[in-house]
Amino acid sequence: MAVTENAPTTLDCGKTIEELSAYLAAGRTPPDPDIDRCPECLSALDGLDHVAQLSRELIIRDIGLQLAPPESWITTIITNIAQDVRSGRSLPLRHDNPAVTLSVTEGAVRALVWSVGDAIDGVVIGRCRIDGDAETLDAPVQVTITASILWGRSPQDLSELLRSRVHEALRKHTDLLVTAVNIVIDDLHKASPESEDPA
Amino acid sequence: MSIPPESSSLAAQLLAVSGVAEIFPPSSPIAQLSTLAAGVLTRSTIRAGLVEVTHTPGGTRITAKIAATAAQPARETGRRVADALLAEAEPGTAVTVQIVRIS
Repeated sequence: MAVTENAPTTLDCGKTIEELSAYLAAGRTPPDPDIDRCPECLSALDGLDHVAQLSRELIIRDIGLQLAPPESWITTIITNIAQDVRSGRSLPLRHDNPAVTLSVTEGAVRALVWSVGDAIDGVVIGRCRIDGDAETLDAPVQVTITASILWGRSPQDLSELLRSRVHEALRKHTDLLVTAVNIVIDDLHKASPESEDPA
Repeated sequence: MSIPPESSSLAAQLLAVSGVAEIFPPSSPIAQLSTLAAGVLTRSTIRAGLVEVTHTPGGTRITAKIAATAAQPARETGRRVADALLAEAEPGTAVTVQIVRIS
């Protein structure tokens, strides 16, 4: 996976996407405790692993298809991973004891959204944004997800599926008052071997 | 008077809480050094480890950063972790739990 030199790909922990890509390519060996004990790095590795898999599928399918994605597409996704796994804000969770401060990081929530999208065949998440005063309980927030979808699939159906699953995941894991999950389809990508119609 | 809990024993207990996948250091190694240095200046005692126990003239604070499994509601896991820490802590101890990963 190529990463442009100018892309802002350094995580808050100091590791770069280039380092993590190399670590992933080496099969995560030798073990690097700084990476293996860092939640940002682990979330980034999850995203990079998914992109690497996607890249292999696109390369395999490259011959004979007309919708070759621009090279910048993968790079953009990788850059977005670096942005979205950052810890960001602390989103409060309820606890009835005032001596307790309980929260989930914005980065953990965004990574959760990525994993929900990655689990839907035909969807590739490009970016996830949480708008609103998410650091205050009961304050309304909106989630906006930018995604690419599989060529030939219904944007409306995939958008609705992604929206409902993200909403469900946020309701299950967070105390956010999500008033809207906005889906922006900004790209199309080619079929993967598994999803291709054999007929 | 009860004995303040040790970081290592707290970490072991938290790993046994349902829904906890992992415990992460409260801060990066560099940040931990800064915190320790600040502790010298403020006369606080910090037990470094996966669960940070900080003693200051104002009281004790326990801080834990966890990964929660996606199989269970992370917010419920967080509450169980906070309750587990409160159960081990001296009265008046402040507890901070942050979920940094849901996997």
